[in-house]
Amino acid sequence: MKFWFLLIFEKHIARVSIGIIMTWLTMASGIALLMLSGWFITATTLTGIGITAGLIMTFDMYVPGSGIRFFALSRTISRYVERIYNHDTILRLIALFRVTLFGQLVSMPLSNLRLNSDSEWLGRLTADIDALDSILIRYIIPPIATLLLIITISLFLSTVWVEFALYVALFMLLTLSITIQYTIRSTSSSGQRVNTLLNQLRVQVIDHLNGVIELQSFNVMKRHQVNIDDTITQLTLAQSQLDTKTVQLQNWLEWLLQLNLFIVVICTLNAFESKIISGPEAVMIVMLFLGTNEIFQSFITQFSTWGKTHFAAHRLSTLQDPRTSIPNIHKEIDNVTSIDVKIIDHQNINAIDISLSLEHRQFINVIGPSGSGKSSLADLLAGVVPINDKSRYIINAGSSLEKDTHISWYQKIGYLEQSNTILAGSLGYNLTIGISEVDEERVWKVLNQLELDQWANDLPEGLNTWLGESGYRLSGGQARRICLARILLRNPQMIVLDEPFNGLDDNMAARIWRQISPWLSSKIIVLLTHEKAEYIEVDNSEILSLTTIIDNDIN
Amino acid sequence: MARSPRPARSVGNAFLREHAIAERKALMLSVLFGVLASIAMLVQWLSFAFLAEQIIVFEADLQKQISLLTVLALSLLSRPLLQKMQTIYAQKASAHIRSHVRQNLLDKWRNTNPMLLKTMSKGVLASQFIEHVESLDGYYSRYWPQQSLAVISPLLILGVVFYLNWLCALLLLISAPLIPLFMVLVGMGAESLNQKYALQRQRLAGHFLDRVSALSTIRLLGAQQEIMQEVLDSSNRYRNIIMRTLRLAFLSSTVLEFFTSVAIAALAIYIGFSLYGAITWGPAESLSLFSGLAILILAPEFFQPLRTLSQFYHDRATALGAAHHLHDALQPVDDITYSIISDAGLNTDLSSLSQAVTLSMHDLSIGYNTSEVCLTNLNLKAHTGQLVIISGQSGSGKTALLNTLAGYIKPIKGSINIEPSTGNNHALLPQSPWIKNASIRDNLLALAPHASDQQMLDALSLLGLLEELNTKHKGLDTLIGEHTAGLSGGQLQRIAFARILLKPSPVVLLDEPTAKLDIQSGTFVIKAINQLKQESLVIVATHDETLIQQADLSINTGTHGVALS
Repeated sequence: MKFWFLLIFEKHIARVSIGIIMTWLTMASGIALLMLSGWFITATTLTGIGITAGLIMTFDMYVPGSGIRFFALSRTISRYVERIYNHDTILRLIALFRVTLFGQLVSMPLSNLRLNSDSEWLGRLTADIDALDSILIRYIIPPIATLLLIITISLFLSTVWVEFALYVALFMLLTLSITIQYTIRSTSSSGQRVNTLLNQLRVQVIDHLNGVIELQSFNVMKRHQVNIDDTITQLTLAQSQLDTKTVQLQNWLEWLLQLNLFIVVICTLNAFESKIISGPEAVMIVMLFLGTNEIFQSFITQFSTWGKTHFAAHRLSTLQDPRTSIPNIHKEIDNVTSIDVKIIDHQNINAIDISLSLEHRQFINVIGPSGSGKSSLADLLAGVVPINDKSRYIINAGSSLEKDTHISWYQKIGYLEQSNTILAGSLGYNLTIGISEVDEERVWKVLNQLELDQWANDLPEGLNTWLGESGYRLSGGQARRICLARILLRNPQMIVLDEPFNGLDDNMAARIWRQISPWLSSKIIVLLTHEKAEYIEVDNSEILSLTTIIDNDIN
Repeated sequence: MARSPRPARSVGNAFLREHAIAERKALMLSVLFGVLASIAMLVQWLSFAFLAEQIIVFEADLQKQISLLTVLALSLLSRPLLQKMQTIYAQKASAHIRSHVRQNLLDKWRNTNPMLLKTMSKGVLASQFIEHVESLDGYYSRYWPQQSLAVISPLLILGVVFYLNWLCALLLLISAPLIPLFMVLVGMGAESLNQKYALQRQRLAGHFLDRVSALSTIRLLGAQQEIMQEVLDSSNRYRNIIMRTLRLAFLSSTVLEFFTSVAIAALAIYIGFSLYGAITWGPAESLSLFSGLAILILAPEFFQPLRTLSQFYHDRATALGAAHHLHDALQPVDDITYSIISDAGLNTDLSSLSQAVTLSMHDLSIGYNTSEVCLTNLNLKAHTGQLVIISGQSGSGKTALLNTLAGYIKPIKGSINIEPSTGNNHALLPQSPWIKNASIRDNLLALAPHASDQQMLDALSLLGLLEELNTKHKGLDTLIGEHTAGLSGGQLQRIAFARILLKPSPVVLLDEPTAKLDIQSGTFVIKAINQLKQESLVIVATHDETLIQQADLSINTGTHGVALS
C-alpha cells in the first residue's frame, strides 16, 4: 500500500495539501464557533448579573458577536469547498490508477496474459481501484488535518491555562494514535477476509452463469449453486465479525471520550473555584470538547476499512512488478522476410525436434492431431509464447526474435488463434479494431470473400450491429470468419493460421480458400490443421507432420 | 415515518421499503435504542448546564454536588452503550436483507431461460450480485434508523428547549423543516443522476471484463492504444458523471450546514444579549445560565441527527440506484418463456435416468423469433436407439433446432412431443462447451455430481484422453480454465463430452461434437456416440461427413428435408 500512498503524494501533492488545509479550516471554524458561543453567553451572564448588582462593567458585545457570525459562515463555506475539492481529487486519482493499471496489463508479456482467468481480473480492476479512494479520503486527510487541529488548539489553550493545554495535547495525540493503530490492527484481517470472499463469490457467480446452458440442460443448476450458497454463508459470517469488532471499538472509544469529558468538567470547574481560569473560560473549554469529541469518534469507521484497502492495494501492486512488464528496449522490426525456427523439446509439443525455414512466398501446412501441440506450436511461431533456451528463432537471417517481442512484430504478422475472440462492440468495430485507416470498400470485399457480405447486409443495422455478449447468435462459423477477416484487412508479411476453418463445412472452406489464397501467396504462411484438407493444394515438401502419441487405451 | 417527503413513487423505493418491512423488528429495535441514546444525551447536557450554573453563578461547592455528578457520569457512560445497541440491530437487519436478495437473484437465474441469460453480460450480472447488493448495506444499517431518529430526537430536544425558552424553540422549529425541504429538492436531482451513475458503473463492469478477456487478442491486433484511449475516455466520463452528482449532493448538505451554523450563531447572540439584559421583550428575562447554556449546547445536538442523515444520504442514493436495477433484474421476463418443470432436487439419484422415449416433430417451424425463422415444416419421428443427424451450412439453424429441442426456444409453429415425458432431461453439449476454472474432476462433477473417479477415468479413456492426461498432466486434478493454458480445444471438447457419458439422459443433444477434432480423436467420439445411442436418443448437429454417414435419420437444413437412411 505504500506504493499507492507515494504515488498519490508524488502526483498530486499540491491538491492533497490544499485538501488538508481546507479540512482543517472547516474543523477549526466549527470548534471556534462552539467555544466562542459558550464563552460569550457565560461572560454576558456574569456581566449582566454584575451590572444588576450595581457594578460598573464594560463589555464589548459586538466583537464576539461578529466572531460568532464569522465562524458560522466560514464553517459552511469551507465545508462545501473542501468536499467538492477532495472528491474531485479522488476521481482524478481513480482515473490515473485505472489507466496506469490497464497500461500495465496491456504491456505484460502475452504469455502472462493468457494464464489468469479473467473473472478474477475484473474483480481486481474495478473493485480494487475503487477501494483505493479510501487512502486519500480516510487515511491521509483526516489524520493530518486533525493533527494540525490539535496543535492549533494546544497553542490557543496555552494562552489560557498552560498545564491544561499540555494535558489536552497529550490526551488528544495519544487518543488519535492509539485509536488509529488499534483499529487497523483489529480489523485488518477481517477486512481482508471479506474482500477475499467477495472476490471468490464473483468468480463463482461468473462461472455459474457461464455454464447456464449446460447446467439447465443437465438439470443440476440448483445443485451447482451449493458452493455459491456456502460462500455467501462464509461472507455473512466474516462481515458480521468485522462489524462486531468495529462496534466494540467504537464503544470503547466513546467511553474513553465520555470519561475524559467528565474529567474535563470536574477539572475546569475546580480550576474556576481555584481562580486559575474564569467562568467563561471554563465553559469554553467544555464546549471545545463537545466539538472535538465528534471529530475523534469518526476515526474508527474511517480506519475500519484499512484491511480491505490493503488487500486491494496489494493485489494491484503485483501488476506493477517490474519483472512482469516488458522493458520495451528491443529494437523495432521493419519487416519479416524469412524465418528460421528450431524448436527443441518444448513441453507441450510431441515432437522432440521441429525445424522449419520459410521465406517470402512460402507456405507450410503443419498437420497434427488434437493434443499433439499444434496450437502451442502456433503460439511459438507467432511469438506469443517465448521459446525455451534450447530452441532458436531467427528472423531475416540475422536477428533472433527476442523473448519479449517488440510491438512492431505484431504489426508485421497476423495470427489467427484457435479460439474466436469477439469483443462487445459493433460488427464494424470487431472487424476494424486496431486499424488506423479503414477502407470501407476493402471491408466489404473481404466480407464477400468470406461469404459474410450477404449476411452483414441483411442485418438490421448492418455493420453497426452489436456483437459480443449480446451477439451470441453468431454461429461458430461466422465468428471464425470475422476473426479471419481481421487478418485479411491488414497487411502482414507472415501469417499463422490455426485451424482457420473450424466450424465451417468443407464446401465453404474450399470456396473461401480459393478466394484468399492468391492474397496469401505473397506472404509467409503457416497453416495448422488436424488433417490434410483436400481443397488445399500443397505438395509433400510443404507438409510438416507432428508425430502422434500412441494411446494404449485404444480398443 | 420520515420527515422528508418521499420523492415520486419509484421502483427502487418500493424495493427498499419491501425489504425494510421484512426486517422491521430489528430495525424498530434499532430506532428504540437510538431514542434512548438521545434521552441519555439530554440528561447529560442538562445536568452539565445545571452544574455549571451552580458553580459559576451561585458559587456552590463542587464537592457537594455528588448527586448531580452521579447523574452526569451515568448518562455519559450509558450513551455509548445505547448507541452500540442501535448499530448492532441495524447491522443485523442489513445482513439478513442482503442475504435474502442474493438468494432471490440465484432463484431468478435458475428460472430464467438460458438463451436469455447467455445474452447478458456476466460481468454486469456479477456486479449486480456483488456490488449492488453490498450497496444496500449503508441504507439499512445506517440511513434507515437515522430517518426516524432525525424526527424523534429533534422533537425531544425541541420539547425541552420549549420548556426553557419558547422563542428559541420557535427559531429551531422554523429552521427544522426548511432544511429537509431544501435537501429533498436537491436530493431529487441527485437521485436521478445517481441512477445514471449506477448504470454507467454497470456498463463499465461489462466493458472491462470484455476487454480484459480479449487482452491477448487486442495485443495481437495492435489495438492497445485504441483500447487504452477507450479506458481513459470512460474513466473521464465516469469522473464527470460523478462530479455532477456530487456537486448537487454536496449542495444539499451545505444547506444543512448553513442553517445549523446560522441557528447556533443566532441563538448564541440572542441568549448572550438576553443574559446581558439588552433584550427585555418576550421570554428573554426568564433565561439563566442554566437554560441559556443548555439551549446553546442542545442546538447543535438538535441538528446533529439531520447532519448524520445527510452524511448517509449518499448511501441512500446509491442504494436507490442499485435497488432500481435489482428490481428490474428480479422481474419475470416474458420473452422466450421457459419454465423448469422439474428441477432435480439435491438428493435425487441422477445416475440412472435412461428410459426409452419417442420424439416426434409435427410441422415444426423454428427460429429465434417470428421474424427470423430458420427452418419450417419439419416432421420427424425418432426413438431411443437412433442417431439423428442435423446437417447443413454454417448459420442455417442447426444450433437453433437443438436449442428448441432442449426447450430453450419455443417453436414458432408446430410442436415437439416426447413420449413418455422426460421432464427436462435433455443433456445439451454446445459448440463451445463451458469450462470452469477448476480441475477436470470438478468440471465433470459440476454436471455429473454422482460420478466416481473411476467412472470419470473410464469415460476419459473411452474418448482417448486418459494416457495424455496422466502422463503429461495431472490426470483428474489438472486445472483447466478460460485461457486453457495446458489443453487444446479438441481435448477440452472431449472432456465436456465426457460429462454426457457420465450422466446420460433419454435425449442427448450434441452441437458439432467433432468440430475441433482430428480423425483419430473423432473416431473415439463417434464410437462413444454409438455407445450412447443404445440407451438414449442422440441428436447431433454436424457437418462431419463420417458422422453424417452413421445417421439413422437425418435432417438437412439446406433442403429442410428429412431423409431416412
